Amino acid sequence: MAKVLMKGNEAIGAAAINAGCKYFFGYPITPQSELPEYMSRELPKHGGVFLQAESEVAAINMVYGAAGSGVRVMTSSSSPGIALKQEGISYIAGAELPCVIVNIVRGGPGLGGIQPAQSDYFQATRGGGNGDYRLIVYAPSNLQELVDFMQLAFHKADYYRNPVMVMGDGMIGQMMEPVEIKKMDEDNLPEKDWATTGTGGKRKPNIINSLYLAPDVLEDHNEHLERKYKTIEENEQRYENHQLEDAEVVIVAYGTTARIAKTAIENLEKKGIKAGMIRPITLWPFPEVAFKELDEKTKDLLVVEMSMGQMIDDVKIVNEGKRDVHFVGRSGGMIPTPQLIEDAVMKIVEGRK
Amino acid sequence: MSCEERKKQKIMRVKIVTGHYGTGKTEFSVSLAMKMAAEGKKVALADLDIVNVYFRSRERADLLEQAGIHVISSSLGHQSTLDLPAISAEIRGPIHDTTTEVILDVGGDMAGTNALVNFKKDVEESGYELLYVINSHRPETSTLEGALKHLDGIEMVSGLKVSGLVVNSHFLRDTTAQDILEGYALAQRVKEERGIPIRYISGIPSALADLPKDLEGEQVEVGMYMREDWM
Repeated sequence: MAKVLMKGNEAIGAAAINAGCKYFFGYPITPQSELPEYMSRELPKHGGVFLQAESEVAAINMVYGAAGSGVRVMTSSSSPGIALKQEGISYIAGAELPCVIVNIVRGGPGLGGIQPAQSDYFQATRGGGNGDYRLIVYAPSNLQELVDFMQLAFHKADYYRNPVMVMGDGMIGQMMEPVEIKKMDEDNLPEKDWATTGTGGKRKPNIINSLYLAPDVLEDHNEHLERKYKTIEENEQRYENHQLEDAEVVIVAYGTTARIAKTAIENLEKKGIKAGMIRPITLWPFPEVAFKELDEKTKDLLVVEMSMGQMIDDVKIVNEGKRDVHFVGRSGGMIPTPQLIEDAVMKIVEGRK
Repeated sequence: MSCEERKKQKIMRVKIVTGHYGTGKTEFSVSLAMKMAAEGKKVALADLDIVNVYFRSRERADLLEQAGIHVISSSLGHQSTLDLPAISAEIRGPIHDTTTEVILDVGGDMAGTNALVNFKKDVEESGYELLYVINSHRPETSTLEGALKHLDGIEMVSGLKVSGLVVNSHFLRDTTAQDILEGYALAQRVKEERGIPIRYISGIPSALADLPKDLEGEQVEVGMYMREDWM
């Protein structure tokens, strides 16, 4: 497919259809409503089904059912809508089913606002649902990554039998950029012999369930899940390093914020200050390896988020107290400027003298 | 230029900017307003976008007002985060003020065009140009069929007739003359089908500079006003 100009939300839809997604269940909410709108128009043309559910809770449970039959299925929403889906997400994780959940984040808590934010980091990486479970969380920072990660998300969901979240702030959903929707090679996927597709009288029925009343059996199940999560932690950490060599201060930022930080780093360079950046691409598993490779000269980490500071907790965990960890951010739908980040870096550098 | 001459050339004081969403209506509207203000004209820009609350011209109200442009948006002010379809009736003032050049920046698609219906009588009285923005890089309007489908839909909803085409094919800062020419070729086919002239060609200055000289339509330099530097 040639390069086209797309809006984030519709690019997600186009990429999902290209990845073989056949079912979409959702409920509209700003700032991602163009996505269900796109799916309602385009999915039927590709032999798929779009269904607007009566609520977010209904939508995620439709995803649960469809995922149980082994098809590629997704839902999308924005922050408070994703909050409503948490029960279903926990069930899907417990039942080990593959699906993709897209969160185009807006300001919170509660109904919050409709402008971009990154304040659902805890919700995505700590789980708003109950029990010991994890989601793989991808945080694209431009629309090409967004479309590439959509297929990757479906692939990893199938590979690990686990729900995968693609999380972008409202800006990622709304901005326009040229994208090329490509097809990735997916040869290494196991057969979905667990799916409820009918026995044909030849085998025992497959059962999709997250209820284990016997505590020893549930503990076995939890330990099995934990082994899977450890494997994901070992194999799926993704990040981008940007100008880390000799960096005095290393910024940690993801998504849209990382783009703003890149501009700040360029501006700082002109002033003779060397700053670099680690951009987490997977928020879970958090890319701890990136922090192990940091330069000895780097004495400070500056976490920048469109929230009051959530990812900073993970940065502190992987930092193991080695460097000073600082924070700057905006919230509520306000977007940090390069200037804000530059000033924060300058303050760190000057404070050291 | 006398009023009669203007009418003959289909240059009207009230310009209504419509199109499929994401074609660049707002960037074009803001750039055209800035151009006309720089030419010393009295300009009013009305933001009629009630479909989408991101990237609306009211976000640039400060910049536009500094250039002397009268910005009109919601009856509740320019607060960009309001998700309410509240359009200020103040728009009627400039539409009927014969000394003001008016640009109506309408929301995308047929849904966005609904907001225009309120002002149909006013613009019919004042005279208008209904501009249709064409961006061949948008998947839905990359073909003649797609471009016509949205054009017909907008005419149907508004009850008004498109009088001019705007070529706005781009890849943001990477736009080349070739990109614009692709859009121009599509606009020519629309012109053949519907008999609508090409009224404007817009693009970043470097791309416009490389265009052949004999193209139809006034050139408008796009200032990338709606795009933050870091994007």
